[in-house]
Amino acid sequence: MSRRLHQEPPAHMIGELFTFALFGVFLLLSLLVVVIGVENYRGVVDASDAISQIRTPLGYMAGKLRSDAATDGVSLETREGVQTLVLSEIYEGTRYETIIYHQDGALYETYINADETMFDPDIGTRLTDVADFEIAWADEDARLLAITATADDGTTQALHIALRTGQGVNGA
Amino acid sequence: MNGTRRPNSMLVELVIVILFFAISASVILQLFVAAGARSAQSTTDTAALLMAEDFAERFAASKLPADSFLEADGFAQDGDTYMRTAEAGKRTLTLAVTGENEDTGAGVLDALHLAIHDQERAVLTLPVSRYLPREDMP
Repeated sequence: MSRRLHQEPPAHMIGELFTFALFGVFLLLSLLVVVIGVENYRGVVDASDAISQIRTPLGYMAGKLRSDAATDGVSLETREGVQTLVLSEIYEGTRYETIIYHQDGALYETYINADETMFDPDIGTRLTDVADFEIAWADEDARLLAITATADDGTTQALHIALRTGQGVNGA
Repeated sequence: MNGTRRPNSMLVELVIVILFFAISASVILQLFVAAGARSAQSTTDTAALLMAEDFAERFAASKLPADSFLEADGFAQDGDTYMRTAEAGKRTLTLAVTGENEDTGAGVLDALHLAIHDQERAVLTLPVSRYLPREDMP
């Protein structure tokens, strides 16, 4: 009886234990690779989201301000408690306004007949998501607009746009 | 006899699988690293592009002479080149501006050349021109 208690474990048992230990290491390494992959993918997607959240509104605003040759005036106004960028144009005696503003974590745009319609922040078209968006004049002559966009992760980027068109039909 | 053969064959199978896994994992990890680097480079390039665009717009709107504008913008003169650094995420970009101006009598034509580098890598170059009429000069 006592001889059996002090017996060495059989060789095949050690072999099985080693095999299972190796299998355990294999599982752990597999999990590690999956975790690294997930972290990497998440990092890439987050960076891409942040860049897109900044570049889209800035690019849109730059394109809008540069391409709208018919615009007779650019002004910054607070309407209905919302800071807005107003691009005005007069067509056959009627003034039309393109109003761009930031509300509820997104950039909105609306186009109205300024002589007949009041601005309503709730009827704008949602353009793109952006955590924070600010527009301000960067100089005293109202020729240079400073646009600042902030992504959800706090990344902030500013872009200045020099106006090529006239400004101030609304008293900018 | 059969009892010892089974764990041995299982061990051999497992070693083959682990070997295959190790090769796959090394390839995948290289891809992860490459993807991370490409993403970081894309972020830097986008920031550099916006930075260059911002510089060009501010220069176009400025009425200051080119050298005064560059000094006011934080550039330091180093020979014929004006240099400054800017943060783009976790990277530090170097902005270098060279240029020349031509006095036409009625005004000054400035032609600058902005180059942005991420360490040794040239991210972009942008020619920036501006005509400043004499009556607009401060």
